[in-house]
Amino acid sequence: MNSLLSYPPTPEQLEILKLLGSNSAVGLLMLRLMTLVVFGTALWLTVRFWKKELGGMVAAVTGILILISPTAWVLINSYPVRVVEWWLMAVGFVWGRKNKLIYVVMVAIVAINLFWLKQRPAILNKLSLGDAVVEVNNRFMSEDSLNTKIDMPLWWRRLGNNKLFFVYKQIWGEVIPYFDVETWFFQEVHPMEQKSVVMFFWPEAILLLLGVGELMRNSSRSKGGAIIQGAVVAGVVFVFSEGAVYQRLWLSMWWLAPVVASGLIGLGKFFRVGGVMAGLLLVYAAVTNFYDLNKRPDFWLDNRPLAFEYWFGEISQLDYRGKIVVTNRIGNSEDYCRYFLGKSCDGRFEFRSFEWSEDNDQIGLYAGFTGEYVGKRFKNDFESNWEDRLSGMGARLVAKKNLRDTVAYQFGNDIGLVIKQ
Amino acid sequence: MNKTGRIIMLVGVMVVGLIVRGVGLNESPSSLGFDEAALGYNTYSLMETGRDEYGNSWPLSLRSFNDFKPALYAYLSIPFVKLWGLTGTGVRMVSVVTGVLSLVVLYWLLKKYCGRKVAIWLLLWLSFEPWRLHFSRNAFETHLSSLLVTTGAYLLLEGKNKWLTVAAFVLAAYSYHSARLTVPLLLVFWGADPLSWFVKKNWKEVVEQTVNGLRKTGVLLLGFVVLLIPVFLANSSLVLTRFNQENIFKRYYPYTPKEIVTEANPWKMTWANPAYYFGGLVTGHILAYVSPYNLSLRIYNWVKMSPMFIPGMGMLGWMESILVVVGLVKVIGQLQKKAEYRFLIYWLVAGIAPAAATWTWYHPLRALNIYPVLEIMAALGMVTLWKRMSSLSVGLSMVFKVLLVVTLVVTTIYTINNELRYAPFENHGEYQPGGYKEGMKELVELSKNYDRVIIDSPHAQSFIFLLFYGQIDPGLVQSYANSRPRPGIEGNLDFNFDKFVFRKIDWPADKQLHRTLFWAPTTITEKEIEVVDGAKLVKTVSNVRYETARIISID
Repeated sequence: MNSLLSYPPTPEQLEILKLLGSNSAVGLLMLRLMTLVVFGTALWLTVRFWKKELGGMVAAVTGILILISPTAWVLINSYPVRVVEWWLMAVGFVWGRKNKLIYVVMVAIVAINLFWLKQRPAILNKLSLGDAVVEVNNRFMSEDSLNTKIDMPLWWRRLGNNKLFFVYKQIWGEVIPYFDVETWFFQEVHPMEQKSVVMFFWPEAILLLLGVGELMRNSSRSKGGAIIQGAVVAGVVFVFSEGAVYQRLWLSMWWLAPVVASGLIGLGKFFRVGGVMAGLLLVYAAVTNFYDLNKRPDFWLDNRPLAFEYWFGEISQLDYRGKIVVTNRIGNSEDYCRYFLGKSCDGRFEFRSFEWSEDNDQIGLYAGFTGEYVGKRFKNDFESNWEDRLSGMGARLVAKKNLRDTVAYQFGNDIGLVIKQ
Repeated sequence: MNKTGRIIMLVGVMVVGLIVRGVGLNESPSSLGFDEAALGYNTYSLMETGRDEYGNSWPLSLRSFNDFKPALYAYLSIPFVKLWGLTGTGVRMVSVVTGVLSLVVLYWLLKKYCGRKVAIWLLLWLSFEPWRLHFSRNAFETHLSSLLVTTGAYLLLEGKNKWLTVAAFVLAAYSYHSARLTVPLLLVFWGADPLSWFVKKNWKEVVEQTVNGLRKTGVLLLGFVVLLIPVFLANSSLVLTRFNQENIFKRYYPYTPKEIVTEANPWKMTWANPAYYFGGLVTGHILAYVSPYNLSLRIYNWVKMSPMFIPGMGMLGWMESILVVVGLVKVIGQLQKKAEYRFLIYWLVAGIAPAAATWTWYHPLRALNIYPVLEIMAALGMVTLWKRMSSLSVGLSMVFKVLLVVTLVVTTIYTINNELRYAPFENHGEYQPGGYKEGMKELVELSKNYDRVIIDSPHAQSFIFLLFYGQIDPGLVQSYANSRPRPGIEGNLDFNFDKFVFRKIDWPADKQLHRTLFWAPTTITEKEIEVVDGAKLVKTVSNVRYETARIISID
């Protein structure tokens, strides 16, 4: 079982390791240490900024709240670019808030998402009218297909069902998920069993409300302005990004954490015992969540690196001399091969997706998903003894593992190593 | 705008509201849900015999699907069913009227919170909120209850007329279950006013003010409880049965994710103790109702599979859901100074409580009492936004304001189109099965010439559609009361009566029957019918989108 620290590198980390020319476990450790340093600097800048805005106590607690968040540690461990984005945001706010440089920083962060992480946020499709045209047409067709309906003049229907309005509607559809109370505060008990990482612990939701009251009571307009500005920057970055929701929402901790901190300080001022109890509850929450994170990293984290770790771990023990095919279905397997096997990753290896039901593949060792061996299934509903079918295909299962989540839809949650004879 | 202008505009909003809510009720929503049909048929039964479908004389709760629906909606529907008969219009009209009347109460509240000058404009905007249109066009007891709770809350806030306040609250509790918890909580919160404790100088002052406050609302609470005793005497154990099925405690046990439970008794765990996770569940169940994402966009599957689902939108509009946050911030900021703002928080929490005690994370129908509060918050947010726009340069201010108004107008048109024209496309199905309206009356007419009618329907409680659309004699139905599934039994509650039998049709075997009429699935093909001697396909019935059933006769 992997713990957080022994978790294999993410594609993002592999990309950086390749650039640094150190694609190895030592390189990964160094990268994590560097990320930690960047995070430390960013946190120091964050505390410095909020100290000026909201006072030393609030700033210190803000720093602690970020520090005890599982999200921060998952990102330090696996997603260095997100940590750099926080660092940029902190720099932007410390030195660029008054002269609006922060908005340049905001654009820079969006550019990193688009061009470095090669993200393709959904908002781009919405803005290009492409999705709106399809939705308007579908709506008209749906309404007209009904056997009985209330008749309305076409001009009236067009006032509401038109491309421009649907773009507006779809933009809301991208903006509103930013205000995701469940992901911010209730990931521990999420109603949709969403795969994400805990950002804030649930007691912090109550502190947020107290914090709003405290800030509204005590703060000047400019202080509120800093929080709103933070919300706007984090919101724009959220809208122009894609991927795991906690990563997209990560920068929102910039402005939420000081509000929560204000709530805790305010509670402590009014009712000292209450403040202490709340603080202790947060400590309890932090220990509980890190305990959970280390107990079930495959539940909380992306399973794709774990799949590669498994495949290459098994391959290295096999001493197989023939052709080895490793699937590319969930990422660049060649990069992972170089990381896990180094120079052994020679010409015997082929890095590509395969489907035995469609291709006439040759003899070799194949690392892939159930569906790649026995044919994909639309609903991922493979029988548990699927490997029994392999002998009829002239193949033999060498190793098999079940992944917790579906990472290759239609190809099953089992990964394996199969030798085709 | 002067007073006359405001009155004219209010009347205008109500008239437009009535048209938008009342037009085409038989076409959209396309067919009745089984709860609507049950309310309608019980209304008919009460109107004709003075008894519900089980023969209970003038009951306070309708046994219906053993869920004991509060009966006020059915009683109020009698004149409408008399007028329009057992139709969608007849059974939904109380909701329409409720929706229109609720605009008046909303106007009073907006006047109170946002000022006389802007209240009517805010009303014009909020009167088309998706939830207002949707719940006004379906027969929901909770909608009626929401109007009465809102009225009672307004009277309570104004301290105007105690008896009227109690009357509104009691009627709300006779309309829907959730008011039975919401109202007492609101009265206790408002009396004790716990949020004001934070500004009191010492505990003595806190105790003094709390006792005085509780003494005032205690009278109302006493009146409420006394007038509600008959309901609890009638079926208190069944209320508990329902709570046992739906409560938050059972469903999630042991609260801690099972994979990290290390002790046989999870409560003994130091870390990841169930108490911690249970706290999260309760807090989440409450705060889910102020989440903009939930209010306007996110669709939970238990919402999607029910009549409360509003296709294409949430309970509130998109902009409104964000303005709720702005308003909430404003309210929280002024809690210490303004008692009426504290009242909003009490109302919100009391309204959420009945829903939060159940397992579903976000369940708008059970928390319908809070939406007027959220609208007031959205209105406060809009006022703040408008003021912020006014502080810009004249030109810029004008541009933003025109853009805002145009956006709101187009959104309103979209919302109306969405509810009246588009919603039936997505909303037909399990709870609005369709096809019954189109075929049941004919089936009952034909049944006079046959010995037996076999009904095979995939929908739960399909018998109620036969009763409703076939206008079956209530006396006949009442005579079968003793043979029907007992309270506490869950699942399909279909029952056989007279010549009507509810069961799966086994065509190879059933085609041997004689003088029999079938309501059959469309999987039985025309060819299969043709080859049977004396068999005839009388009609293929369609819902709004596709063929749903066949009426087959065998002589």
